[in-house]
Amino acid sequence: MAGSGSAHLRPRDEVLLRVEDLVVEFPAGRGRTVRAVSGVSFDLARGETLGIVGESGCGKSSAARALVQLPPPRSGSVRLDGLELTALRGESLRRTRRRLQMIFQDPISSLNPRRRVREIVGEGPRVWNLPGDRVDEVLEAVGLDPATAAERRPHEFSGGQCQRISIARALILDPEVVICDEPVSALDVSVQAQILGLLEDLKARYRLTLVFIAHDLAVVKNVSDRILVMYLGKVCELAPSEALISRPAHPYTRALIASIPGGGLDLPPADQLITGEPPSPVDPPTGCRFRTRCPRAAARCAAEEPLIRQIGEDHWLACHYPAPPPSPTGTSTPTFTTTAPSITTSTPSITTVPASPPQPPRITTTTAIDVQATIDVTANATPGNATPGQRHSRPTPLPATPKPPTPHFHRHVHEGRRWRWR
Amino acid sequence: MRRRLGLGFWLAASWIGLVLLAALLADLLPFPRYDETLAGPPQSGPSAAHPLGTDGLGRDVLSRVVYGARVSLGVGIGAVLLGLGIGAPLGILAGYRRKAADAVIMAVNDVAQAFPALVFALAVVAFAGASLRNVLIVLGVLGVPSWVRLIRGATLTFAEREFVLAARVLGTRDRRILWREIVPNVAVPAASYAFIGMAVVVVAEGSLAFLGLSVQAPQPTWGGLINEGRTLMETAPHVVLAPSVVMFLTVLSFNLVGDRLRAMTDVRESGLEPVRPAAAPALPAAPHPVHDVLLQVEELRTHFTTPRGLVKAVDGVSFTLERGKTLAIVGESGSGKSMLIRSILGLLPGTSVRGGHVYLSGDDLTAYGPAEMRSVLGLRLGTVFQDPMTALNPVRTIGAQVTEPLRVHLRMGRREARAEAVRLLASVGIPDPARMLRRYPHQLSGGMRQRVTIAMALSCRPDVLFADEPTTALDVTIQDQVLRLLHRLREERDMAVVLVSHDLSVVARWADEVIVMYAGKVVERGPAREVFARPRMPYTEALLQAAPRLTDPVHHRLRVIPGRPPDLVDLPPGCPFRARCPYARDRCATEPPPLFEDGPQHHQYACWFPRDPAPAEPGSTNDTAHTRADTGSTSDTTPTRPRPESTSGGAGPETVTGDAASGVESRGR
Repeated sequence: MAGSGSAHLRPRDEVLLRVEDLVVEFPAGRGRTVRAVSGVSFDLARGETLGIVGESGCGKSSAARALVQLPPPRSGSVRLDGLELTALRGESLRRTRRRLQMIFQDPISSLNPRRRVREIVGEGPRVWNLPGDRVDEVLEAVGLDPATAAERRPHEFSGGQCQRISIARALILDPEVVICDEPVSALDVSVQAQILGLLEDLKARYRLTLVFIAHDLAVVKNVSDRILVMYLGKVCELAPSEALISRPAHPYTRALIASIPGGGLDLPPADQLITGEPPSPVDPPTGCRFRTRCPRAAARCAAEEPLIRQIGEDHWLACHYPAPPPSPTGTSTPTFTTTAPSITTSTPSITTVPASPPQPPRITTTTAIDVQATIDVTANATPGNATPGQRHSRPTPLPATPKPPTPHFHRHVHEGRRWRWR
Repeated sequence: MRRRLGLGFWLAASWIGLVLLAALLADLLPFPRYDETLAGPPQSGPSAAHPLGTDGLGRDVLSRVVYGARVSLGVGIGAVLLGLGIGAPLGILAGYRRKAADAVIMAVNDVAQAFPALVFALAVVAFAGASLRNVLIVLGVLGVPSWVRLIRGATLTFAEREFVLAARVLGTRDRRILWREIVPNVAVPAASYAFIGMAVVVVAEGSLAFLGLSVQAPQPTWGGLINEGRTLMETAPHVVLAPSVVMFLTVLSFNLVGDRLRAMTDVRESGLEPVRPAAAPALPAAPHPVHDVLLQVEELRTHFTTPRGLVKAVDGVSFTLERGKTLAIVGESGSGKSMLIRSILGLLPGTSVRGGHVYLSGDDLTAYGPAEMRSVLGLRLGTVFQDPMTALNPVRTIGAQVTEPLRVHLRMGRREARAEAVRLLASVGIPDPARMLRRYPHQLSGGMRQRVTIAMALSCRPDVLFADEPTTALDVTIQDQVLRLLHRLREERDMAVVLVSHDLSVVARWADEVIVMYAGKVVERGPAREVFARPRMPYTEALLQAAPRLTDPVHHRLRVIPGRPPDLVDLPPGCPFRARCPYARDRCATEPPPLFEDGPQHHQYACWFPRDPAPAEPGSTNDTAHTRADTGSTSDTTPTRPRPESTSGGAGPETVTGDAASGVESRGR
């Protein structure tokens, strides 16, 4: 999962929130840094729900916090309705906060135990010098009785009710975008259904735009219009929810789906789709970051990072050798053995090129692009069309079945220290 | 939150209040002034006129002790306030701002803390002069480093909480966040430390006074009084005893109050202890046959006595389990599923009472003492818990922990145990197991840790493996690996697995039989496939429809179960699910449903008005035609199912098993 690039971004005037090439770093001790988010781009149209899914350590929560600039990302751009948030500091940044609110995972820890519900929910209006008379309204909107709830403290409520209070606190400021960071992970199934239903209702009622982050693909699919799959700080796949679940192309997406019992798709068992453990984010693999766990990985995956490319109607993918779509009839047997790319053809270039440090190929040339994509990009590489940041004319969807790579030249190749394929 | 403070706290607080009040009102109290000599005969013992007697100059000892309290308490309170006043802002600044401010403040603080405090105090007082003001300032300043440290620590823990982040997202300014979100939370630990600090200062002041380096005579202080009385110890011991006892009680009270305040803010979980041997034979079980199966649980009950009332955490659960099978126990948090496992294993907090029986190959485990139980736990019953990090000792290597059960239980030698540990780790899919033995738990990923705990649980080849939410803390792809592993090991070792989970999809895939729990009771039980395909109990049905599935369309409206699980302390009669059940009728409020059974598969459910089974095959619609008389298993006492259609008035309640009907409430934790 290794994808970089921003080909999948929509024109700026169509989107409310546009995140481009987001990088979030944390110190990891001994002078090293962890890149929790490494060049991630996505956007949200007004009224849309974008689901972000991935396992722990994939950077989804770090990305969420970078959106609200707490802390600000290391680099990259976050534009809310054209306003570049990363350029703002201090008071001017604070003034944008009303428009972007957040709901957290732990319903207990996200409420101050020493304050009453009325104070917690009324904090926003007080900070912004707004009339506080909407507290009762939003408490009712989230399904709490203001008369009994408002004067109590958080510990008197159950987890689900605390999450409702958190939602009320975010809603009272009439935000444009609400970022929900694992809002139901700590809740029981029956309560989870209540909160998911509530979020859908409130989204319609207050015309919200949602970023919905979770590790549970089924939950994400339930509420999201589009889903972004992340792995180790990178984008793997982005597609409308239905398409992502029914026609997953990225090996990691397929593994995620197959890991869910009763997923419904006719996929091979998960243990054939993913192996081993996630690598350390301090020292991520070269090239495609998923390759150490990917049964389809080939030499090229270690050498060059896949760029995001289009494979279907609004379906975007960062993988050199995507899986064929699962057959709905169930006739397909695991296909990766038959279509496994022949690696021998591309090995010569690896041995001849001196090792260079891991280096995410930063776009624009034909070097780091899939054979198929190479053709597209060169075809479009007229001035203006390939300018970074500008929308590509949509190429014809590629056939999802990978072709064995024809021998081609790699400019960036790394020492083969960490490769492995089977 | 509202916890009982206890009698000790109130006695201590009263004593402090009394001393404080006396010191404040000393001028109004009806006794001679502290410096009035010959108020009575010198060195006289306690009398009506002088309750604590008189000293060598005939001064009233009570009066001197009370006036001495002014100095002692005054210095105590004043020095603590001074330390707090300087230390708290610095601590909050360091903890909230972090970075450079933190580094500078803490560096200076460390240097300050390295000073020998009492020597410093002695030196300053000796040079600057012994006066109340100087003593107070010296002791106050000496306390600053501890205050900075404490407040910084408390601030740090709260500054990283999500409610502070939430406040920032709201756009709250830093100053308001500090005052509104952090200070109120830091105040409680600060208050508790303030009392303990006062005790320290009172002792320190006493020491200085004893050395003559505090307030000068004739003004009394407790330390000074003790010093003066020293010479009269043989003739008039009360002169030294009175201030000593008062000082002792005061310091003790400060400490006690401080400790209680701190305990109030701690959330302490009750640990696992072997169940107390038959605390009370309170919960008798009805006679029952003992079957020839691996594990039989018969009418198991676990009740807790809490300040709010009796909580029936597990209330009459029965099941049997054979080799090579997986039994899943599902339910929401608080349904009693984890408590059921702990009850079976006899690992319960001391406040609980257990009833019923647990038979392992026919032996009644509930009759075992702690020593006998230890010989079964680990050897024949293996356990895997949710959080592998808490199950492993962080300061011991994996090797030490995996070989320990082998050496203790199986009496293997060091080398033999090591070789077996390598084999075990390899069998749970850990790469390079020999190297793994030298590692520490924190060096492993969550999935690897859980594999290690599984390897430990399996080390003595148990007959039954209890896995309590073994994958809940793990990532989805790792979950799948671990569950596959458990399944494979079950096959290889021909053991039985009890899998506790809140995740229905996990259960549906890996379990042979499933028990659904609600409010401490079994509400549905049967073959997993059958229960999930044709749930009879409305709760199971609702639970299945409330869980999102990948196959649902986008924006699919999930079934919402209104309300929340009942409070187990005061469970009303009738069906515990009644209040949330769309099909509830009058009868559900009055009579608790027993476990009915129908179908050829021993599908059991506790419901008066069960959901009709979906027509499985057009041919076999006889599904509803009551029970097949059961052979085997626990169903001997199971009543037949009433016909929903005919039960408006309540037909056939006489079929209810007496035991289940009488103890119908529920459980809790």
